[in-house]
Amino acid sequence: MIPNEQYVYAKILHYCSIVTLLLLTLTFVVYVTGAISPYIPPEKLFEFLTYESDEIIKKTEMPIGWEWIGLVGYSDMLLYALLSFLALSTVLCYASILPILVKKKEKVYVIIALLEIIVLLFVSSGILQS
Amino acid sequence: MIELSWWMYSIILFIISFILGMFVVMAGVGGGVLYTPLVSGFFPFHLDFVRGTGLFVALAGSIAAGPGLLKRGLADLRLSMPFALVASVFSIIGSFIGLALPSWLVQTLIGVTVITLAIVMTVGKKVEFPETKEPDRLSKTLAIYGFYYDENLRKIVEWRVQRGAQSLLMFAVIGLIAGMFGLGAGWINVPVLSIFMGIPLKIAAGTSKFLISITDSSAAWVYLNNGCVIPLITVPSVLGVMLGSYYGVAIMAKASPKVIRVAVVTILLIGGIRSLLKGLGIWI
Repeated sequence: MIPNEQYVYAKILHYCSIVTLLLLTLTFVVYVTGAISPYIPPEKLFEFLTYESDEIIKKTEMPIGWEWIGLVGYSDMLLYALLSFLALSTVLCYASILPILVKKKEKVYVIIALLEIIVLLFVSSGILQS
Repeated sequence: MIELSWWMYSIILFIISFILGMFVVMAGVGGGVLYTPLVSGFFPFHLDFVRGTGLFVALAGSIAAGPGLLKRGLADLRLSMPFALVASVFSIIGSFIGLALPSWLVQTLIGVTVITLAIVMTVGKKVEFPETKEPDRLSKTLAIYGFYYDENLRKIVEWRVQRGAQSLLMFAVIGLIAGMFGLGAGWINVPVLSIFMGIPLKIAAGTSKFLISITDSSAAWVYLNNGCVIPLITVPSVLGVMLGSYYGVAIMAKASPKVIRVAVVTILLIGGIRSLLKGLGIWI
């Protein structure tokens, strides 16, 4: 009754949600307990949470965009990695249904899926900055 | 004023998000619409971080609920894809507009939007099976139609879409608002899908919840790339909403729809009024 692409999309999204929930929980415990050092200690970050984002970046030298990649040994940067994974789940789901749509010769939906992937990859690249 | 430590805020955010997560599932709204006005109104965090987190909260709730809705046929992928594409492009534009506007103005507009929504939820009528005229050219071209088994009616309900082309325009506006205010979009998706496009309420609610996972992904990236996402705020909120959503699904059958509706409207009014007063500088 449910199209194959919808079933596959649901399956991938389910894996993404479970992986995110488990790893976020584990990493957050590591972060708050200090088991792995954070790049910016939470108590220091907390002092600046009333400031605008531009100011907090200047004052704490907080990495933005994909800068966490070079600092992934820190617990707070691992949390950024997981939040980035969460925000990229849709790309994984779309990429996984593309072969099915191509096989079904659903030209319009192939184009829509490709455009959505391009939009999400483009915005995630950080080329656009405010 | 009592000063709390950072870890106390993390615990409070988790508890509040867990409670909101339960209501979000039971009320069929996104999550950001309850989270953003409430947390921006009552917590000492800059609005940038609350909006960024609001989008992640809506995104996480949607990703948690999406698979079940898709597998049960209560959300439709084919219906979602074209409208989600338009909404996600415009949510990026909305995010940049929102980040460029002064905080007090955004806070005020959030207050106005949320209070309006609370009023609409109180007086508005829900049509479970809207009448659908002939599907338009776009809907026919994209072959957007479907059917699902309604457990209450114990029969297969067929649905199709009307006003597809005009709906694309409406989803552009939805995306713009979602990105600008960090509110998610479930609260406005449902009436558009149901009343305007003629889709049965169950499919409209399910598809709306799923759509957020696509729309808010793009807006969330704008906030993430501009330093507006702080794990200290975002992670306990995301975990709270996800766990609350799972628990909400489990107790959904026992909960009274009327009580849930009253509770959600109350939360919206409290958050909306507080946002409005804070934005206007009356109660900082």
